[in-house]
Amino acid sequence: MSGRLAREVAVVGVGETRFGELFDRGYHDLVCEAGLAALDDAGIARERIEAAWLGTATPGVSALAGDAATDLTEPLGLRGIPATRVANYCTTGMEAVRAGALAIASGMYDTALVVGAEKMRDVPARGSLLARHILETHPLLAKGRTAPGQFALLGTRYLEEHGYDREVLAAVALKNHENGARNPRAHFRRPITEEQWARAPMVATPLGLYDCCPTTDGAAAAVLTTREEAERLGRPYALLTGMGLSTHGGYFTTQFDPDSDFLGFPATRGAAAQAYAQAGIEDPARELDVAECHDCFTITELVNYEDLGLCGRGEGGRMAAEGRTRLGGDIPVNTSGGLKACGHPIGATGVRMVADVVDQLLGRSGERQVEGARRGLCHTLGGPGIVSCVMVLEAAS
Amino acid sequence: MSVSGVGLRALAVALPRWRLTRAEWARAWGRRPGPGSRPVAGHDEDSVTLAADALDRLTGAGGVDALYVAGVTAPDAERSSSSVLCAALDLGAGVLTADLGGSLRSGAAAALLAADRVRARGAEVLVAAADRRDAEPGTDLEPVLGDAGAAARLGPAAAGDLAVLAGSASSAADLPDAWRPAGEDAVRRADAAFSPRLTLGPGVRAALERACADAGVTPAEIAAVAAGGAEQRLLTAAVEAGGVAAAAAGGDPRALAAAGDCGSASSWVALAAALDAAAPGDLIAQVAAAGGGADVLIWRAGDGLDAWTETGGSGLDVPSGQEIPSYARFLRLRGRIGAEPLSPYTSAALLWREGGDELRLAGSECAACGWFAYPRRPLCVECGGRELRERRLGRRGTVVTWTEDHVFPSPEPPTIMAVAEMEGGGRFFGQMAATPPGLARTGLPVRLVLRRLHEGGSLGHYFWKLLPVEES
Repeated sequence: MSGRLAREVAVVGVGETRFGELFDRGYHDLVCEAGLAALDDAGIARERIEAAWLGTATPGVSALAGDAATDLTEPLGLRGIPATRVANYCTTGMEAVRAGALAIASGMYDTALVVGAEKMRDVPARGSLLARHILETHPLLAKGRTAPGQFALLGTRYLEEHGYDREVLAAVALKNHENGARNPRAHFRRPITEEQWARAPMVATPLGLYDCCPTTDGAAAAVLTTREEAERLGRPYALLTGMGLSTHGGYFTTQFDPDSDFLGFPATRGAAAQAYAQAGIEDPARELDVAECHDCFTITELVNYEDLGLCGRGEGGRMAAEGRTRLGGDIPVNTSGGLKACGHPIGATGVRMVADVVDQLLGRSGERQVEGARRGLCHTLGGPGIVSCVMVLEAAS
Repeated sequence: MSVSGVGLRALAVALPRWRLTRAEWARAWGRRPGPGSRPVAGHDEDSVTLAADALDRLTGAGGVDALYVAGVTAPDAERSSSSVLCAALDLGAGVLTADLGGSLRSGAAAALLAADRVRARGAEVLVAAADRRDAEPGTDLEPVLGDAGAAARLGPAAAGDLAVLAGSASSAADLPDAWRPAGEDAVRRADAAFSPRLTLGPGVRAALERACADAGVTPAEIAAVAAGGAEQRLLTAAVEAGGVAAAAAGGDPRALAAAGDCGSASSWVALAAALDAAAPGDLIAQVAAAGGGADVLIWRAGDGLDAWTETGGSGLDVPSGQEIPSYARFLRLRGRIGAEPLSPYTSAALLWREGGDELRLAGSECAACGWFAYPRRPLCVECGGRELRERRLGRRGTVVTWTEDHVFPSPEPPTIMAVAEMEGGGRFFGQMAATPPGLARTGLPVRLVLRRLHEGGSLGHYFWKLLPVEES
């Protein structure tokens, strides 16, 4: 195993819809808008797309939209090309990017389109992910589980083990809301105060309402090609220099695993190790300029810092509290507002992160721009932390 | 095999965690407050789980030939409560499982049938009786009824038994004093003056006299009457008329105070209370009487009473339970006020394929390296070994981490989820049972109890929950 891409892969175009409760837009509307935006950004016509991947995690929520990749090719009018729908829990979006990248690297295709999309608000918020645990999945082992409840198990342990007060979570919520307020595409565009955070109703102790990402509609897309083709196009682009994916345990058994310490995620550590090895990164805290990580809940972002090697074990809370991951800090994390403020349309999120990091590397992030960003990271985490994808992107030239 | 007598090896009573005080009931209805409280089963408890709790308290439930489960509030018709219990408690697929119902006397009837099987086969037999009882809201009956389970182990008489069955008798007569139309859950009662005098009284008296004759004793020799149920006063009068001394006939008021009129379990709860006060050799008349007749079992207390007392006896003296904060919450617990409707996914095939092992707490242990996993795995994750042995997950453990989840819909929010490290290795992750907010903590000792998880596809799904272990 070489452990690296056989050909260099470039991201030459990205596009996103606004994220939010898009009651007036259908799944196909979102796919079409994001896909066309990415094609326009790359400056290529539809006909140049040789293969496509669609990431959607829960098609059941919206009349099976996204159940197959024809929900990408149909709205964009792409006829005859190979297209595949992928899913991998909340890493679904990055899984689509990964599939496209592997295809380009293989030499079989030179230009691919990847779209991540999720239409979650066709039903009330309780009808999407919560309903999955109740109305689908295992008759015994699933009942009582919720997404916040499963991540809250880490919150309890993390605060106790490392001696933090619950308020340490607020630093993440405030930062990401502040960033989201500067992101025209974010679901939530208002900063919050620590008092608001503290007054919010409890969701799953120690996680309150402002510790949780919302239920959101949205789509994001990227055009991938070879470095040579990107050069020929003559537009700014970014290179995918590291790509790791790691699985660890299973959805219904990971909490039963006596080795689970509920202080972090081995899947993230595994994916990061793969990506860093490919990108030649030895000290991520110094060598990365910007990062988008999977903050489905505030506690998740804290353990991500540690699992991604941005700080030592137990230091995530301090890192957030000291503002080292805010804009202007040592390494700004989730300058988009993250899942917390952008929302988390599951299939879209990973592609959205790639788009946001590419924007940073190309100097297109406006008020949120990290000056001189040359190398950035994207990270998603799926299920109760059992599958993770990490990508490293670098500015070309 | 010739069996000289039938012994009561062990007896246990289980009460649910919640209590509705009669003061709160009276406040809600503008009535005069009564003393004490009634035990109340939570949304996840029914006669199956109450029976499971009682069976759990028997020391050693294994090695039996049959399990008789009695009650008039079995959650499902045409589905065997006893088979659910047999699977959950891993009694083995070869035991006779039988369900008795139809009458509040079924708890005593189960003992009489069990005694016959002990005599016929020389085998040990388990009996469980449990009911979850409802009356129309606001009726006098509502605060008097109770939810409880009881379980007993019977076998060929031997040293160390709690008691030996000295004699028994029954009487049957169809006179309507109490009934519940099929498909309804609220008990109906006939004219309170009419039914006792004409139905229960003569039946109890006749059965008692014949049971004493069967045992070769006279009613005057009875040291205590163990009669459960709301008709206690009437039973007292009837046994007095039969020649039982007034002091003995009064029974032990603690049984009714602690468990209420808990239906099929009530005479067993009363027997447990009577054993607390008994001396070896004492005669105790266990009386089960209700519409349709009476059963009387005469027990002679044995030399197992010392051990009974040392291990806490019936436990009825120990204050237990959690007060329900309001009558409205009581109604929601009983499902009389709607909670968020749920129709959880289920698959009969999946339940049979995986759920059976999960219900038995059957994990897998690698024959090569000893690596243990629950739920069971197809392959040893540690060494790749393909030969796996079955090993059960331990029933006691310690909380590793937890959360109070306000999102998951429940009649008793919040749903408390916890991960526990179990004795003997392996972990359990699932709901906590009857745990008030603020109680969960890392390091909390817990044990697994059988609960009704949900009703996917209108089928009751039983699974384990973590219950805090009360340390006294």
